[in-house]
Amino acid sequence: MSTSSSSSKKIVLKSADNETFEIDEIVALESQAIKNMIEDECADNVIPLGNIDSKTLSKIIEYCKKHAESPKKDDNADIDEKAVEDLKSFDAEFAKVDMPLIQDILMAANFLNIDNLIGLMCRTIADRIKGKTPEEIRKILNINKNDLLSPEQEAKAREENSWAFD
Amino acid sequence: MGHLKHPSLRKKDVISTMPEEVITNILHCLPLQDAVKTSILSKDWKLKWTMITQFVFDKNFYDYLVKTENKHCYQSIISRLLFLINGAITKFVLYLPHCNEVNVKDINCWIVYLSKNGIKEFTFQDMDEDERLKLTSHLFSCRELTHLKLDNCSLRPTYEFGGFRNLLSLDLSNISFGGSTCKEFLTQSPLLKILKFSFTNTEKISEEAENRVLASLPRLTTLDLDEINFRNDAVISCVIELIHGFPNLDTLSTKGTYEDAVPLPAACSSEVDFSIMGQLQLLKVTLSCIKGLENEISLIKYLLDCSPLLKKMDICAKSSKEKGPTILMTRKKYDPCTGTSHHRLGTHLIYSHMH
Repeated sequence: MSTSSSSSKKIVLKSADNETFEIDEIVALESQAIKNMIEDECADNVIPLGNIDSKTLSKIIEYCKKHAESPKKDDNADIDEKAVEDLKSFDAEFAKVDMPLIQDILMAANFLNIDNLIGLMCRTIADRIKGKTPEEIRKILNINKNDLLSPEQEAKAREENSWAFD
Repeated sequence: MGHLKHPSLRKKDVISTMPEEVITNILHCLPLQDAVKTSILSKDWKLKWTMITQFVFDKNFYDYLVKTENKHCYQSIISRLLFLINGAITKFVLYLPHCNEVNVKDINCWIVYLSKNGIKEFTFQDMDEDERLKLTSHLFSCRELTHLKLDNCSLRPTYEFGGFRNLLSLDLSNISFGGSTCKEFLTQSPLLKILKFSFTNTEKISEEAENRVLASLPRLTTLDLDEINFRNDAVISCVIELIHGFPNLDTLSTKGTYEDAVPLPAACSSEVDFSIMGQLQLLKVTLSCIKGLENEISLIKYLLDCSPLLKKMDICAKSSKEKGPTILMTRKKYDPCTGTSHHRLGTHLIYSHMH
C-alpha cells in the first residue's frame, strides 16, 4: 500500500504565506477538490492555496499522508484490524491541538473537501463543548460579548426548550 | 472564501460563520439536548440548531430525561421538535422504554411526517414486550430509506409497496408481519448490503429463505443472524439456506440462543441437510454462544469445508449469562511463509482460554 517510490508523481501545494510543499499525488488525492482539479486537468504543477497558511497546510498534509498510506475500508473483511486501530489512535493524537488551529483545519478541510478530516474536526469540536455550560462554551468558541442575546431573548429561548436546560 | 486571519486577530466566533453543512455536522455529533442548548449561546447561534436533520431519541436521551425529571414530557418533546424543524429529517431513532406512555397514534403521525420529509435512516426499538405496537403502513412509503432497523413491532406491507430501492442495511427482530412475510422487505431492495436478522418470535421464518428471493440480493455481503436455536432443525435449515442463498456473502456472524436449561440430548441425529451449502465466498466468520451441539459442529465443519477464501473464523462460547470460562478459537488463513503444503483445512488453530 505504501507509495514511497521516488518515481511517483508529485504535486506542489503553495500556502498563503508562500511556502511550498511537495507531496505524492496519492496524498493530494485525499482532497476531493484537488482530485477534481487533477482529473479536469486544470491543475498546474503548483497548486496555490491562497487561504490556507503553512501551519495549517502542514497539519493537513500530515493527515492526508497517514490516511493515504492506510488500507482503505472498501477492502471490507480483508482489512487489518490493527491498521484500523492505528489510524484511530493517529486521529486522536492529531486532534490534540488548540481551538484556533482546529477551526483553521476545519475551514481548510472544508475548502479542500477532505471528508474524513471534516468529520474528525467536527467530532473534536463537539467533544469539547459537550455537557459544558453556556459560559464555558462561549469561551471555547470565542463568542464576543456584543453578540449575546438580550436577557429577555435568552429567557425566552430557555423557556421554549426548558427540558434541554435542566 | 475569506482569508484566515491570525488567531489573535479574530474578534468573532469563527464556527458560526462556517457553511451550514459544517455546523450541522458538529450539531449532529452532540446529544440532542446539547445541540438545542446552543440556542442561547449568541445571536448567531440562536437558530442554528433548527438546521439539524438527525433526531436521535435513543436510550441515552431517554435516560437524560429521567435524570432531569422530564420523562413525562418525552412524547411532547419529540412532537414539538418535529414541529419546529423546517427542513428534511434524514435520521430518526426512536427508543421506547418498558412501560412507556407514548401513544401509538403519535408515533404513527411522526412516521407519516418522516415519510414526507426525506427520511433515510429509521430505527424503532420498543422495550415493552407485552404488546407489539402496530406501525402505520406509511413506513412503506419512505422510499428513500437507506438504513432500517425495527425491533419489536407489528407491521404489514401495503399492496403497492415496491420495495425499498435504496436500502443498504436492514435489521429486523421481534417483528410480526401480520399474515404476510418479510419477503416484501427483501425483494426489490437490490442495493442491500447488510442484513441482520433475529430469529426470536419472528414469524414465518422459512419462507423468506426461498432462493428466488435471495437471488435478488447480489450486493449482500454481510449477514448477521441472531437468536438461533440450534436445537430446532427447521431454523437451522433456514440458516443454511440463507448462507447459501447470497452469492457474494463475505462476512457472517451467528449467535445462538441463551436458553440453556434443557440438557443435551444423548445422541441427536440432525435432520438438517448441510450439503446444499456449495462453494462460499466467506472471508470472515464469527460464531458466538456456541455450546457444542451437533448442528453447531456440522455448521462449523461445512463452513470450513465450503469457504476456500476464509481468513478468520472466531468461535466463541461466550454467553452473558454463563459464568464459566470462555473459549475462543481463531482460525487464521493459511500462511505461505510457514512452508507447509496448502490444504484447505491445513490451517492452524489458536485456542485461548479467557476468564
